[in-house]
Amino acid sequence: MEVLEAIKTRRSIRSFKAQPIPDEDAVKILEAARLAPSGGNRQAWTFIYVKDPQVLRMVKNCSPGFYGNAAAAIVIGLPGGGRGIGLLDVGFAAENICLAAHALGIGSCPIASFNKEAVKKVVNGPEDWEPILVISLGYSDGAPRNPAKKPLSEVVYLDAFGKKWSLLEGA
Amino acid sequence: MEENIGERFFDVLLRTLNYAMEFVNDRGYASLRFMDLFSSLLELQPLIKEMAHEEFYERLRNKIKEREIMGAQVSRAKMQSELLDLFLEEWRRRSSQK
Repeated sequence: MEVLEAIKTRRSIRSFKAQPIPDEDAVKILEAARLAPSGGNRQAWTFIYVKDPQVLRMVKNCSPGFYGNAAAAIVIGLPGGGRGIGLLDVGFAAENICLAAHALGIGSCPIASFNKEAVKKVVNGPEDWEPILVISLGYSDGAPRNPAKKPLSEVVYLDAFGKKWSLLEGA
Repeated sequence: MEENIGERFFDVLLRTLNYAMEFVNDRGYASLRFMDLFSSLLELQPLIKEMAHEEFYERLRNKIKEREIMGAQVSRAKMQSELLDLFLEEWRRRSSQK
């Protein structure tokens, strides 16, 4: 799948089929995460791939924003709690994960609403480490509706804030 | 089926605790209300015959009794964290038996 096509067609998936993700595909998704940009090339992130049903169940129990019976999840964490640019790095990696999964026909949903203390304990996170984001993964159980997106003309300005770009009128 | 209802009850109770923890630092009563719901669910447990004698839930009830002063946010957060530890301990114990 072309990158632009993947960006256009990716959706957050919250309902999944009971179908496991092949390990080879999981590794491809994690490889995409590893290759994401990071500030100063620090790569301070850690990715915990959760596929054990009992561990996954507990991650879900501790994540109010986790919907659907996902086949797996990735917990992305940073040392020292993640502040400043580290959080952006996690965002870059998360987008790579979602796009790579989508390119492989696997749905995903980033989840920020989770109990950090609990998830950290569930995955045996070390003292100086904090989970920042959870991403659920699995095969979509149906086609999610297209979310409304603001038009380009509403969110893009040319050269200065508030200066409209005529090219984008109606776009 | 017996194991299923036990597991499902455990999950619902733990999720309720996590909802309470999510709001513990917010102004308002959301966290307190979820803890009320948590306690109410916990009171149902002895009435469910498949799991009427599970000692784990008695430990949770005792923990709540130990900390009856629920007014201060700090003590509520601490109690929630202690309840969470009991859940994780129990989950690990059950997992090791499977």
